[in-house]
Amino acid sequence: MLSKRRLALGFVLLLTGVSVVLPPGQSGLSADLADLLRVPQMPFARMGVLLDDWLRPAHDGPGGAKAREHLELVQRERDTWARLFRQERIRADALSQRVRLLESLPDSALRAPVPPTTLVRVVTGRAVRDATARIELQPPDESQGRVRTGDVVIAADRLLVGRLERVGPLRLLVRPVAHPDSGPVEVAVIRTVQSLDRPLDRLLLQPDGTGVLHADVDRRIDIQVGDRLMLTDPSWPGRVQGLVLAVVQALEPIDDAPLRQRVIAVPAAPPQSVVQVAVVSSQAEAGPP
Amino acid sequence: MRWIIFVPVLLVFAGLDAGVGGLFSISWLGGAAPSLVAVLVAFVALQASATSALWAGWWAGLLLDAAPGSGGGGTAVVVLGPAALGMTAAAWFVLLCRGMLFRSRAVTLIVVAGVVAASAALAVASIRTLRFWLPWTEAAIPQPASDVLLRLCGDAVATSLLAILVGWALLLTSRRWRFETSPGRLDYAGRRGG
Repeated sequence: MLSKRRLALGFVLLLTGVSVVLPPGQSGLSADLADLLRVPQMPFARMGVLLDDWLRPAHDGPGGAKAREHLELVQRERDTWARLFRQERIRADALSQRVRLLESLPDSALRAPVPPTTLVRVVTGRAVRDATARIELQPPDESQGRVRTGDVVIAADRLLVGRLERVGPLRLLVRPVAHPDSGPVEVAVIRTVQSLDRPLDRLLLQPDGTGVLHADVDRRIDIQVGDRLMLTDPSWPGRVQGLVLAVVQALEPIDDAPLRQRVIAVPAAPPQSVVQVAVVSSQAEAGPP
Repeated sequence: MRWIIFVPVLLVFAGLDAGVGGLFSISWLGGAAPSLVAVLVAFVALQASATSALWAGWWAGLLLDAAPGSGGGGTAVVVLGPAALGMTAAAWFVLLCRGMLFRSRAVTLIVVAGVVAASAALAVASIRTLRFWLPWTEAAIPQPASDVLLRLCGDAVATSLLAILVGWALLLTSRRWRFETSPGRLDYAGRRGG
């Protein structure tokens, strides 16, 4: 005769088997159950992420801690100035276009960059094998109510990660830029040296669901493997315009259109390797309470 | 088996898997990564009673299902079940084989940990493929079989390597888990007595 534990196990396995083949209408219930299951696991997952962060610099090669700190500081400053330059470059580009059209716009009107208000969050969960999978952030505490769905999430090096898809009491879910649901996004090629009279080379990147983004562009556009692509999409908040979104990984010919080529790009901040992010709060953008 | 030991160890192992798994992933093997949870399930399946081993596999898989991105293909739908069934199937497979094995040897645990990782990954891939073919589930397109097989082998090798250290440590603590009630010898004695 079967024991009660075995009967219970059989019943639970049967229920599990049924839940696996159910339509996705019950996904809300499953998501809530998953949230509950994650609660006791979160402290250890966070410890794991911090341990990962602590262990990774060991792979960076020789160099003392001070040298590494100095290098990081210099890199941060470089990235900050590069970002400011690119933001100004986009503004100047937009301004010059409007000036050409209206011949009356003062070019100083938009030259007042305000640093975005950011809320730093620690990544508590991510899929190490899937570049399109959502990442999970530590839930808000002191910033309760200041983040909301659609806020932009950036990595520590001012690289775009994605946008908040779900804001819950237990976790924040971020949808990365390479996710197929993120849709197309307009970017421009970053040039180290570029004259201001030449317009930006813009392209429309489309995520294909495998972790990469692609765009079909005119062959005459000067673009190379390794070029960085910055966000210039007007549907994204103005504060994040000019941040690096992707890096060109490959250029492929298109047989059906010999005058065009396909640009294959990968996210500049792969979700699998992100440890700490900042949420650019749109609430803060609206002004102090 | 003492569940009061199993549950904290499972939570720690699942958390570490989610956190540091990326550090040890092997990119040229399709992103294969070692799994501490698979080592734990292998250890329990080798030592505990059959029912406890299957329950342990189910709970371990359920935690893996709840992890972010576990749906595969970047899907937002959380499906609790594939890994739970996969780990239970892996534990059941070990139960079938363990009568022929030297259960308390480290080498056995190292090999079985790899087998558990591979069996669970195979079961999960099969369930995801089944979901893809069911018209009402709107499941993500499964990965190509060659990629799955490559990653499955990579998972097995990486988990076995990890089990060299972790499995040895678990075996050192096996007395504290109170596996003495394992049914193998007791059932045999009971049958002789009856």
